[in-house]
Order: sequence, then C-alpha cells, then structure tokens
Amino acid sequence: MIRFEGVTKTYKGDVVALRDVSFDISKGEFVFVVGPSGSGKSTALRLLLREENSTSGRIIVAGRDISRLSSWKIPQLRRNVGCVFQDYKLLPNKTVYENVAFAQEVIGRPRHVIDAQVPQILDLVGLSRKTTRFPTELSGGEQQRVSIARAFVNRPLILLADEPTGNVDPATTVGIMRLLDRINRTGTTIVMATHDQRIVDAMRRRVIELDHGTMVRDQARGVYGVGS
Amino acid sequence: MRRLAYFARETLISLRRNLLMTLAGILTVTVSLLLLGGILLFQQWVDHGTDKWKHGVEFEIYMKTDATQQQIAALRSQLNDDRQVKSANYISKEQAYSDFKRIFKDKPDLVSSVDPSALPASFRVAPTQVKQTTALRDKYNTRPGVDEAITADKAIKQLIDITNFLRYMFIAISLILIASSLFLIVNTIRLATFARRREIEVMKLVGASNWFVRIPFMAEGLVQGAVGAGLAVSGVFALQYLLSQLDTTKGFFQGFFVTTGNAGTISIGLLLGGAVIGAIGAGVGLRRFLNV
Repeated sequence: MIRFEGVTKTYKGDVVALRDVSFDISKGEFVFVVGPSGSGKSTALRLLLREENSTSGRIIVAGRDISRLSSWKIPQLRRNVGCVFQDYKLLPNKTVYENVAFAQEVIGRPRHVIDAQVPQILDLVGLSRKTTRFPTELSGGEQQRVSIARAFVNRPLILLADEPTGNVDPATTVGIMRLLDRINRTGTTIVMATHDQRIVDAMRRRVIELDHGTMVRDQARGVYGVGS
Repeated sequence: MRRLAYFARETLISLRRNLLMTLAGILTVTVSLLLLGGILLFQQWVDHGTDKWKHGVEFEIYMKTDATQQQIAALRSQLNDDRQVKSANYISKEQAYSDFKRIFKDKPDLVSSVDPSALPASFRVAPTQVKQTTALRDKYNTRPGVDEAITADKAIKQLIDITNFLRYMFIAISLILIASSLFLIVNTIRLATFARRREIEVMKLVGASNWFVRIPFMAEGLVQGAVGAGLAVSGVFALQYLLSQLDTTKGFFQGFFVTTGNAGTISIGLLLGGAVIGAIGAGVGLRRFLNV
C-alpha cells in the first residue's frame, strides 16, 4: 500500500529532514512512526500527501509513484489518503455536521450521498448528538473526533494521523486510539506519527523509528523505546 | 446544477466580504475602459467626417446637379491628363446618396426628405504638390458644369492631427489605468484567498480539484472585470448618443458621425477586455496559494 524507496528530503539544500528512508507498509496495517521532534515524522507524512515532494527516491502509494505525480492528479491522491492533525484544522464557522459534509461537498459528492453518510460517520465517532454544535463548543477530544470523521467520511484507503493525541488528556487519548483502531479494522491502513510512549507501548503495533531523518528501527509489534 | 449554485454562492459571499476593494476594482476597470472606448468612438466620429481629406486629397470639385454626362466626362479626362494632379476620385450622385444614407442612418426622416438627384456628383482631387492646391482649385472652379471647388479647411487638417495626438495620449493613459485595475483585482483576490485560507487548506487536504478551489475566485475576478466593462459600455453609448445629437448637417463638423453599430463594436471589445482583465487578475492573485 505504501512503499518508501531510498527517500531523501532536504530543505534549502543542506537541512536534511529524511535520509535514504525505505520501508514497506501493507494494506490494513497500523504503523506508528516515532521519534523526537525534528526527527522527520511530519515530513514523511507530508510527503505521503504530496504537500511536498521528495528530493530523491520513490514513494509508491496504492501502486502509484507519487513523486512523479503531476499537480492536477494530486487531488485524486488525497481522496485516497485521509489525514488528521494535532490542531484539528476544523472550520470554526461551520457546525460539526457541516465540517464533515464539507469534505464531501468539495469533491462533488451528490447531496443524497452526503445526507446518508455524514450521520453514519458521526455515529461511528460518537458525536451523533452534537451535530449542530460549533467546534469552539466542543472539547479537544470531541474536536479531534470531528476531524477523524472528516478524514474518514470519503473512505480513504489510508489514514494519516500526525500527533492526533498531542492536544488531549490521557483519558481522551484512549478513546481516540479506540476509534482509530476501529477504523483500522475496516481495512483502512493507518500511519500515525506520535511521541506518546504510552500509546505505542499499549497498542503493540508495528513501529518505525526515525532519528535525525534516518530510520533506526522497523519493528513489528514494537514499543516506543528499544530498551523499555 | 448544485455545483453551479455552490459557485454562485461562494462568489457572492466573497464579493460582499471585500465590498470596498471590489468597488475600487470595478471602478478602475470602468474608468480605464471608458477612456479607451471613448477615444476610439471619438476617433471614428472624426474619421467619418475627415475621411475624404486623407491620402493627399486637398480639394473637392462639386458639379452642378444638372451637369451633363459630357461635362463630367470632359472634366474627368482633363483631370487625368493634368500633370499637377496625382489622383482624382469620382463620386457619383448614387454614391453620394448612399454615403448620405450611411451618415444619417440614425436620422431616417432627414434621409427620406432628401431626393437622390439633389445631391451633386464630385471629384476628390489630390495634387502632386500641396502648394499647387490653390492654383488648381481656381483653375477647375470655372470649368463648364462645375458648381464649386472647395479646399479642405485648415482647421480640419489640424483636427486630424489633434485627434491622432489625443488618441495616443488617451490610449497611453488607459493602458496605465488598465494596469492599475489589474493590480487592484489581484489584490482583491489575494485578500479573498487570505480570508478563506482555512477553507482552502481543508479543501486541498480532502482532495478538492484545483479548479473547484479556483472557480469561485476566478468568477469573482470575472464579475469585477465584466461589471466594470458594463459600466464603461453604457458610458460609450451615452457618448455616442451625445455625438449623434450634434447637428452635423452643415458647418465645420459636416459629415461627422458615429452609429450605434460603431459603439456596439467597441463595446464588444470592451466587454472582452474587461473579462480578460478580471480573469488575468484573478489568475495572478491565485497563483501564490495554488502551489501549497
């Protein structure tokens, strides 16, 4: 589903964000990308969304080399790759329902599809009773659920999550991880960048560790730190 | 249909949000295109009145309305044989009448009141050397069948020069204004994209196509350009109306005219120009965020 082949990303010629990184993620996997701040986690996710392009190497997503994708095909890639961020990126002037529906409207889904799928997805994330609230009226955990609903409503093959639990308390974190796990069970590949040690240790999924842009570990059913 | 409604709604919202900038953009488009259209129309008005004085034509010989064919033929061969005459164009009664009808197309009652046979035939004469004009005029003034030989008014020649000068000046000014209207539209679109940067970011992240993101802003630029051009067009028609109200049946401005058809042709150009200004402005204004 996702393959990095010797991917290097440098900024302004001399700052190396990723150096010769290679890994292979199969369909339906749940993978943590861990490492300290500045290790290149976010860069790897940005490359997968083609927000940036790699300096060298190949990135294959669903059989396509996305580093060669022409700019007008990028939207097609992004419909297959949902994403969730630490800061949610919700639209403050839209309700919960509208925020989720927006993701379908702007890719031209017909109204009847939207009206059928949005309530369904809001039910999945446990917000079916808060559809008319605005983001500012929700807790951080609820806002993150809305953003997950928005990322998942178009049924992407892959869901990227960049520090999704970075802004929420431990109790809420558990709920969000359960939700991501449920989504993973539907066959969606999940790649989650985090430096939350407890989550990684509790979930026991595959761990890819980056340090200063270099991949130092790729371990099935891993924990956060090698020694812990 | 639903998508069209979406684009229309988004465009309107954005136009309203930046009302002042939008108005500034529209008005600059209007002023620049009105100057351009106005001078083109004025130019045609003058051209129509001064056309016969171009290509070195310095005087006209009007025949009497009852001049015989022999008299006309004789004069023609004299003119053709005259070494001091570079060219002589014969304008028959019929041609004079059709010119007359063309000039006063907007005044049908005037046209119907004129009998075709009442209009004189004439020759438009270009001398080999301009300084011979007066001598030549006097020479042909007394030939049989000739009513009168008339030289071009000096003022007419000056008017042609002035119009040419004005045309270049006005075109230069309107080009500068067009450039500033472009900058204003670019700026309006930038502000609009900035105001909606979060939505644009989300749209791009969930895979909205580039055109889907772009169209409301392109439409916004187009509306500004087109509305501005529309206002300029009404100005051009107002000018055409004013010019057609002048009495040009006699005196200095005899034969000066512009039709609504002329104004129409210019207007089509202005509308296209306005749309192009709007589209280019929007395109440039959008360039920055589209690479994100």
